[in-house]
Formats: sequence, structure tokens, C-alpha cells
Amino acid sequence: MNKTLLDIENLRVYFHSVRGEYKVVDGVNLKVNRNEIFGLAGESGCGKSTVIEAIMRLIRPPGYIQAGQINFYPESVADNTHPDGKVRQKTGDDTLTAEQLANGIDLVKINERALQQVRWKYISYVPQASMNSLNPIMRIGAQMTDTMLVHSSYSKIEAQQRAAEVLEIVGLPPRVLWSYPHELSGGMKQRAIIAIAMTLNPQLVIADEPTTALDVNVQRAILEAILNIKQESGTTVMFVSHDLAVHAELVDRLAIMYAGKIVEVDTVHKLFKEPLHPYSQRLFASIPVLGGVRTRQESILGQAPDRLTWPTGCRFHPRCPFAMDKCKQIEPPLVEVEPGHQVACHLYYDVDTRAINLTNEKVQNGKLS
Amino acid sequence: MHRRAVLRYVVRRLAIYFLTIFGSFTIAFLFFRMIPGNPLGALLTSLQQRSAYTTAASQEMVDHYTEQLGLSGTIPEQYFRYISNVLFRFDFGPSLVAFPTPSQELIVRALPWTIGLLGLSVIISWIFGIIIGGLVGWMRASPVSNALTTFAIAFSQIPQYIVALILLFLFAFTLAWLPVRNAYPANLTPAFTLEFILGIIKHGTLPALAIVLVSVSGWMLSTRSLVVSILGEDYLLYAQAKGLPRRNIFFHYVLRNALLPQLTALAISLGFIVNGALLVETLFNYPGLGSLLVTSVGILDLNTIQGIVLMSIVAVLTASLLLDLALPFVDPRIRTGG
Repeated sequence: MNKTLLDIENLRVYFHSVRGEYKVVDGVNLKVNRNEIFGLAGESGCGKSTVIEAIMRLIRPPGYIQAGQINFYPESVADNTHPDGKVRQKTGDDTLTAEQLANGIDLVKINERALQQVRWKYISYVPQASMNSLNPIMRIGAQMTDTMLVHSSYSKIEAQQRAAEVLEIVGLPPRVLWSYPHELSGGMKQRAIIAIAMTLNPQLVIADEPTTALDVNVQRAILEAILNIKQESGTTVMFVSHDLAVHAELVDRLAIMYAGKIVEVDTVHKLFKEPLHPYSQRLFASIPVLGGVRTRQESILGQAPDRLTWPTGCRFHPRCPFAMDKCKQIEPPLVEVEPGHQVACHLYYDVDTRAINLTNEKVQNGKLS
Repeated sequence: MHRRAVLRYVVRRLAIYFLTIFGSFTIAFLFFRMIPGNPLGALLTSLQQRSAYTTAASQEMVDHYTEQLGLSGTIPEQYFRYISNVLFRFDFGPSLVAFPTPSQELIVRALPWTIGLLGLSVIISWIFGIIIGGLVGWMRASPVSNALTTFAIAFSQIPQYIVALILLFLFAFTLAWLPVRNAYPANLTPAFTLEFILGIIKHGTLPALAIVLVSVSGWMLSTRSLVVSILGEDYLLYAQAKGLPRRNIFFHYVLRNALLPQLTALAISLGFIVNGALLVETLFNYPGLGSLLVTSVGILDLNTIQGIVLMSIVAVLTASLLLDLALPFVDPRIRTGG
């Protein structure tokens, strides 16, 4: 069995505008493994959410996927059977064969009907704007079951039972089924949305900042709900947040994104302990530490670059304390410098000699921790 | 919602309803008294013509008719007499248009024609406007949708009477498919026969079409803009992410949300139909309230004008009252308020 569930290659998402093309996501490479919680971090505007929307194929004009592949390798589920073993009635939208699913599908290329089939049954989504993501005039229960009835062989009653079940997992009482969105608090709505994502036991749940704008108590409840779900069903979770503390708590592997590109990927422990990329180093240095001497927090100099005209070479070079001439001209590739640890920086990888150098003097001396 | 809260809401709403009727009618009444000109003169002239005598009216006669028309005494006296007549005897006073037939009789006679013609036209254009507007908004990128929108913008700006004239010219004069005037064939007496009903439909088609063609574009444009704004909502993106079929999204997520404000608008425009469609009714010589209003304004028939104004005030306010009482059942968000 392939270890990789989702393999993003050279994904580029651009937005048309009168001023030119906004290259919001510009060559992202990512691999998400089965049964892990994969984190994606980065500052506002670096393209995190756009990557997510591209995976869900929700990019709306003037945005478009300019290039790239998003290969998805779902475990082949017996497609026509219900959890009870009942055979599902064939519906018109079954355009993906079991064979296709087993060989992996490119989410960028599949047609609208195949996409509809993949959505929710294989990949579900927890949107960033969960406050406004529920239809204001439909009961929560109806909004949970409508997608279940389309994508599974559940009967109406079974669907409702299942809906109550997932609500319980996220810590909501069954009466929520009969509530309207305006009757729920923000945290309850967020949990309802997570419950909706779980209804059909999808293989990949993509959560886009599900805890942003919630107070820490609710945040905790939601993180616990996600962990519960992961333990219960072994679902793979892709978790996007700019909050490194949340990542530390929740995720297994973490990718750091900067200016439309991935700059570093590793397990969350390793990354917190020994970040290699100068951007990551400064990002982690900005987390305040409890206790000890009070110091002024380090910040990253300068402004995030303009998405219309990214800096040439390494996009971080105008803000990087270690910038060399090479950095201004050549874009560093994302290279695996040690097992499981990828980084895109000229300090560790010489593009000409292909030599890996993990003990770069300059960085060791300049390290801020 | 708590029972007593409901009761309090209904009582408060009803109180506002009656106060508004009273207030707006009072203002209308005072305005009519400020119009220059004497309705009596017109009456006396027509009476003289009718009975073909030329002597000037005696003071006694003038006093008699002044009394009968409710024009004697000071304005407050006239006002209270009028109100009590209307409230306790449903007596609007004699009309001038068809003296001495009481105004209320003329109004009651005209009302079914207007309600039939306009009520049906409004409901038909509402239904079509919502369906077409919804689809046009849903498929707003398609050329057909753009063409329809352009067409609707043009049509919604053409006055109804111009459309009516064009229709009259085309279908009544040139092609002679449909009758030119009146509400039913002149050779038939009103009765519940198939022939008579078919006659009504035939006569009503052109005036209804004139109204529908114009107002359907209005409904269509407003529904389209509602739909387009709903398409930008987060819950729509989410519904797409849920992999729902397009038809499901259109009916349950788009149209249902667009319907609520349109329901409000429908109730309000149904309230306004009692005003009649002045020009269209006059053009087709349709015996509705619009025609009646035009004739009574021409000879300053105060009793009839006041009656029609009172009716339309009551209709508009009743429509919005019913709407206020019904909306909580349609829109869950209003239920917990109050």
C-alpha cells in the first residue's frame, strides 16, 4: 500500500487582475501520508488557504489553477456497499471506477461529476469561514443529511442516526439536529461543521483554520474533537493554521509556507527543535517562552513581499540575514537534506555540486535560540 | 416563542395597524378638502342637463345637495360625520359619477375586476420573475442569461401603458385576435356560464399581458441580483464542497434564500393592487378601480375618491400586517425575536 495519500506537485494557482497575475500559490510540492495529521503553517497571505481551495477545487474566478497535479490515492473502498454491507443502488454519478481510484486520481483534471463523487465521500472540508458556511434557513440536521443521502446508501433515518452519532463525537447534543444555525454559538457551529465533515468517514479531512477566531477553551474542545475523530476512524487530517501553538499540540508533520511556496517540511518535534530555513528559525523564535528572563521578541525584518512581483531567486532573501548573492538569482529547490526533512535554502544545498551541508557555520552562529 | 410574547406582539402590531389607517386617512381627507373647486357645481350642471331645464338652482337645492354630499358644516364636523358613517354604516356617501348611487356600491362593483386582473397579473409575474430571475442569476455567465438580463432591464423601464398600446395595436387592431376594450363581451349579461368566463379571459388577456410583461422584468431583475449575491456567500461554496448536485444547491440553498425577501415584496405589491392600474384600465376601458378613480377625479367626486383611497390604505396596511404575522412561520431567524 502506498504510504502517500495526497501528492501535490508543482501546484500553481494564479489570480487574474488588471495589474497582472497574482501568483498566490506558485509551485507548491507536498506529500501527505496516510493516517497522519499534517499541518500547514505560514503567515497571512502566504497562500495556505488557496492551496486548500485548490485541493477541494473551489478556486473561483478570477482565480485559476495554472499548473500542477494534485494526486489523490484513496484506499479502495468497496464502492457500492454501505457500512452494513448492503449493496448500494447505482446512481448516475458513479463515474470513477474502483480501478481508477486505486491508481490515484488527479484532482486537478477530473471532471465535475467525478469531482462530485470524490467530495465528502473521500475528501471533506472544514472551511475557514465556518460562521457563515451553514445555510441560515436550513436545520443543521438537514444540512448534515443532504450530503449523506447523495453520497451513500443511508436511508433517511440511518442518516439521521449517523448525524447524531458524529455530533456526539464533537460534543454536541442530538437536539442540535433540529436547530437553525443562528441558534448556535460560534464554537457550536464550528463543531457542527467538523461533525458534518465526519459523517461519511472520509479518508482525508482538510481543515482550514478551524480554530482561528475562537477563544482558547473552544479551541481546545475543537482540537480534542479532531483528535477523537482521528483516533476513531484513522482519518488523515490536513490542518491549516497560522498558530504554531496549535500545530505543536495537534499535528504529526508540519510544512512551513512562505510567499506561495513550501520552504520546510519535517515532523513537528524536529521542526520546533531544529528549524533549518532562516524563515522557520525566525518564525519559531517569535513564540514567547514562559518563564526565564523577559526579552524583546525577535521579529522578522521587513514586510511580506507583494504577490504581484515576488522577489527573484529565494523569495525570502530581502528579509534574510544570511542572504548571499546566489539567493537573489537562483530559486532554491525543496530538497530532502536528511531523512524526512525537506528544506528550500541555499545554505544547506548547493545547486551546482548537489552537495548537502547541514553544518553551515553562518547559520549555526546566527541561530537565535 | 413564549405564548404571552406572541400575544403581546400581535396586539402591538394590531394597534399600530389601526393607528396607521386612521392617521393616513385623516391626512388624505384633509388634502381633499384643500383641493380648489366645488364638486357641487358639477353635480348641478349634470342634473340640469339630465332634466333639461335652464333655471339656476335655488339656494334650497344647493343646501340640500351640500347636506347630502356631506359637505355642510366645518371641516372637523365633516370629518367626524364621514368617519362615523364609514365605521358604523359602511356608508361612503353618494357618488357624483353615478348620482345618487352610493360610492361604496360603485367601489364594490369595481373591486372584483381590479383584484382579478391585477391580482392574477402580479402573482403570475412574481412566479415567472422568480423562476427566470433565479435561473438567470444561477447561470449568470451564459450568453442567454446576459441577453435576458439586458432585455429585462429595457422592458422594466418601459411604462405599462406604452406596452399596452403596442399590444393593442398588434393584437387587437392589426391582427384582430383579441378584443379592444371592456371586460366582457357587450352582448352577454354577467352570469356563471362558460361562454361568459371565456369572454372575461379573452378580454383580460391584453391588459394582463401589458402588466405582466413589465413587472415580470422587475421581479426577474431583483431575483437575479439576490441570487448573484447569494452565490458569493460562504454557505454556497460549502454546499459545493459537500458535493451536492447542482439542482439540489439551486433549490435548497439559492432559491430558498432568495425567496424570503421576494415574499415580502409580493405581499407589499399585492397590497397596492387596490389602487388599480390607472392607465392600463383606462386604456382598455376596464371597469376596475383605476378607471373609476380616473372618472371620479375628473368631476371631483370626493366621496368616491375618498372611498378608493381608504380602500387602498386598508389594503396596503393589511398586506403588511399579514406579512408581519406570517413571516415568522417562513423565516426561522425571525421566530426567536419579538
